[in-house]
Amino acid sequence: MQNSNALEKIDFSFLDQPEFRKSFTSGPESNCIRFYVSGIRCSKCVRKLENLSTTVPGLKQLRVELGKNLAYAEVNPEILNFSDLAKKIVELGFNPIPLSEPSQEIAAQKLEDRNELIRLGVAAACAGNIMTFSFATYFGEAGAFYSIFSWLSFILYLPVVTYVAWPFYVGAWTSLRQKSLSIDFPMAVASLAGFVFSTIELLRGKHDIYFDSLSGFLFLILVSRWAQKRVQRRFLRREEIEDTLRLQRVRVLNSTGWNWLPTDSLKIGDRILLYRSETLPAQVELETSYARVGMSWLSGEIKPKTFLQGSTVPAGARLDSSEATFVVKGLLKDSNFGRIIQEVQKFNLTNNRIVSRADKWAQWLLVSVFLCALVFLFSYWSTSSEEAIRRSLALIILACPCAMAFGVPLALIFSLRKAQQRGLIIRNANVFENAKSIQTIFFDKTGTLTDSDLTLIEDPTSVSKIYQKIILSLENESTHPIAFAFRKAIPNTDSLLSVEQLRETPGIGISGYIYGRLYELRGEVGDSSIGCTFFEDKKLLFKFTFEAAIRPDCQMILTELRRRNYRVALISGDRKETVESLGKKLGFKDEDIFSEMDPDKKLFVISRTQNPMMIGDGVNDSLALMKASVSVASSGGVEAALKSSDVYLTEPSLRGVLDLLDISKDSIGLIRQNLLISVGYNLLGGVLALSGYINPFVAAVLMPISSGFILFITWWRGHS
Amino acid sequence: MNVLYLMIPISLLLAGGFLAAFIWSVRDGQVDDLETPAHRILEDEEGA
Repeated sequence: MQNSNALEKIDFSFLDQPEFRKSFTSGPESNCIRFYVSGIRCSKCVRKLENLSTTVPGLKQLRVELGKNLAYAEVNPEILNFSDLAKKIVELGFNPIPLSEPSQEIAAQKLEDRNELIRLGVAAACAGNIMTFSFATYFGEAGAFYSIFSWLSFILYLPVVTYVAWPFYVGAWTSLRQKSLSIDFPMAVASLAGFVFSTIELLRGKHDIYFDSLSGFLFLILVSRWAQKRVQRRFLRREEIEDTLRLQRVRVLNSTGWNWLPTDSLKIGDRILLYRSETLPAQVELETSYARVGMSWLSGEIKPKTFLQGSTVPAGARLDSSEATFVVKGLLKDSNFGRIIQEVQKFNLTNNRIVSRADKWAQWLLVSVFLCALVFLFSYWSTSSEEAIRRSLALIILACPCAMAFGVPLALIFSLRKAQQRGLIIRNANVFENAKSIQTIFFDKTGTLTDSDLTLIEDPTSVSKIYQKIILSLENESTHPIAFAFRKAIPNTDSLLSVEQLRETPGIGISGYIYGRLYELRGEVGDSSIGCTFFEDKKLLFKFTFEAAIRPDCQMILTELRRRNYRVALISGDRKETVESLGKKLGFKDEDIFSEMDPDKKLFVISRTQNPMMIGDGVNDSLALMKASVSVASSGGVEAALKSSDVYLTEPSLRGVLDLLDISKDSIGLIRQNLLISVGYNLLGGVLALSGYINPFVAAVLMPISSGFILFITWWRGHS
Repeated sequence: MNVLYLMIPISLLLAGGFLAAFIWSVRDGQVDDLETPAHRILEDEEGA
């Protein structure tokens, strides 16, 4: 999944090929395209991107949608290629990912959004106007106009009781047919019963007319639902982005060169070309004489494996040597790697719990309020039927599930914001709730506790300058991880020496003649690290060791977690010796070190643990990540881990884990407090309404005040 | 007070007019994105 390497970022030429144009473009001349552009944060970014349309010839329009990180572009295809447009966006410092065309579902959703907004507008217009007519009557100032105002209210309430309240009737009816009570049911009853009751009063010339309270109440409920939906969408939407992170394209060789093809259309027998650090999109047979392939995505092992011509390489492996060609032997969807990706995607669809839970509480509250009203209505009917109707109506209007319907999402937003400020990307709002009950925290080794790359352990300056230069000269061309480590550790000297008869033998090392002397660097695998020996004319001179470096703050964070009584464990697919030596160094208990774990074994360990948190990356962790109550992807293995995890750490430090636990605690505390206030308000208000101290109009005023209060408290606590 | 017989229809017409304008703007897609326009006006046109 590591497709975001530099080469592919720059090469967007596939966008100009007909196979891709079909799926990525829209418009009458297929001249429109959408990009997901990460990194749009402020108005400056918007301006920068949108200004492209004035500077790039052929770009008719570019519109940015900030909340969704989307950019829509319309081009004149004769002047501007999509690939050039993408390059222009890259030049501005953004990373555009072309999105395939929106499905019908998304188009339908857009239409629904618009209809909802229109409904909201109608509700606001009617409720507002009814309120102006009613206002005079509250003070008894209407005089001769009283009946005119009442009838006008009645007329204005007609669109409310029919059109505005329609979704409540539909929802109530659907839930009744499924033999359950939904939150819509009390609303539908309040709207209809209130209408009938008020109309009868109107016809009888009486004064108990509640079109004002009812329309205001329905409007407020619609507003809160609309706001809630927006919140939900903003933070819980993920499918769209995932689509784009799939292995999208591959170079397929033909008689004249190569061509980009969508990965889906790859066939068995196709010959494909890959460059360094690209991921194999299929099970393949190696055609080039040899290739070094990193399996860390599959097994967590850091040392790349060498494959010789004709051997089979699994899908998902990452090419670690320079370009190589392969023949496709098995398709992605039939491979282990493909299966893992598919499972990850399936899992995500059923991952959306927190708001539905808040809805459930709200439903419970409303149902009990409704039952109370009903019981009261019947028992008080004999005393005074009008009073019975008035008081139960007041109760239904007063009862407000705001803390659930509004307070919970709002508390979550503030927590998400706070998390974002500390460099955590939360992909799943259930995290806060789950994180509260975490007992065990599993850390993956590679890419989580340690870097994915090797680092030289010894101080390179202990070797004399001339040998440093010789080593660099030998390793200059090599793409072996050890060569990278040398180049990272030894400061670049001005000029390199020329090497004669340079030979790199896979699995053994590199050798060559400099000033007539034979120099060799031989790799060797030790117990817990990778070693390398340096020979001059067959005489051993130096020994080097390499390790994946431990990431910053690790020790401090582990100590702090232990102090807070979490059980911390190390789980890795790497070899036993490597894992154990790291585990000891970081103070893990013996029974909490799990080594040589393949994806299935990790899954097994995680699923047998109570309330586990898993911190890892890579495809090999994804099954375990999904199974954990809370899954955190540390930076590095971004795309794959993001699909399977709830939280992504954008900073190299694991400090985010502590932040996550803190924020979760605050967030759940805030939600609890909101619920408490809500229960208090509803109990007190309910008693007052039923004992006749609150009439339906006062109830309709109190209800928004109570929600305002909850919002204020949430805002206030969320900011402090 | 008789002026109310004139004012009320006018006020209702006005309200209806604004509602119609709102419905038109929604159907037109003007409120599909509620966030970016707020940022867009904050930045000056380049070279302006």
